[in-house]
Amino acid sequence: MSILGQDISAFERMRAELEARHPRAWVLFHRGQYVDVFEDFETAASIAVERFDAGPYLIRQVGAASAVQLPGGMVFTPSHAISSSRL
Amino acid sequence: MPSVQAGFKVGKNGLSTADLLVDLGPTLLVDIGLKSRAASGQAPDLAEKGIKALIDTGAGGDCIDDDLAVRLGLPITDEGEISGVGGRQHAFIYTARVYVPKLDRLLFQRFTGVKLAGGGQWHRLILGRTFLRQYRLTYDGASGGVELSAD
Repeated sequence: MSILGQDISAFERMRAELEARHPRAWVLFHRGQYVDVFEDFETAASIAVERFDAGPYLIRQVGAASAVQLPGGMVFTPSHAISSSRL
Repeated sequence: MPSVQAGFKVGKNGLSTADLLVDLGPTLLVDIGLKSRAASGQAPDLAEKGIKALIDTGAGGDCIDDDLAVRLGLPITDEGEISGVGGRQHAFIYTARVYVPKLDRLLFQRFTGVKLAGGGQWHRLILGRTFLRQYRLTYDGASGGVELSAD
């Protein structure tokens, strides 16, 4: 079940532009709208909680790895790296 | 340099401190929540205190028990899939503030939601290399001692 579908779609639409202009920065999306770009996660999360409280909202690093290694051999794959047919 | 112990100083039930470290793993007690209820200038006051967190250098990201994340009302800030030996499943990323009192450092952290309590795990958080990036970790398997320090 997708909670952040609108935000993820908005991110995908802007992805090429964000990767060109803000590599490695953190971006915030809320209700399908781009909010802002931040140098670090701490600042992005602080602003997000201040403005949108418990959300939900998307905070994602531009150009981040397509998978995150978790304990026990598990791997987390963000939705943008998964085939749209499986999300 | 502020530091905190994540190992074991006393054996239990016939197990030495080194045995406990093998069985349970390096364990840190942390406070977690979304907003501090403390007044400005005071130590952070987060919703849940003394939560057992496993330090896992084999993990890149951090994990939180799904039920704990929901109980704390943490915001969902990304989503995707977890894959592993159990197949694939949808997963959420939650954002929380974490505070380690003896290190006196309050930071936002991203956690993948997983079933820790439901899987019978002793810990409710797993702290991987993302968390460890800002600290020095000393592991002494022979004595059962583990120290985390901040510059």
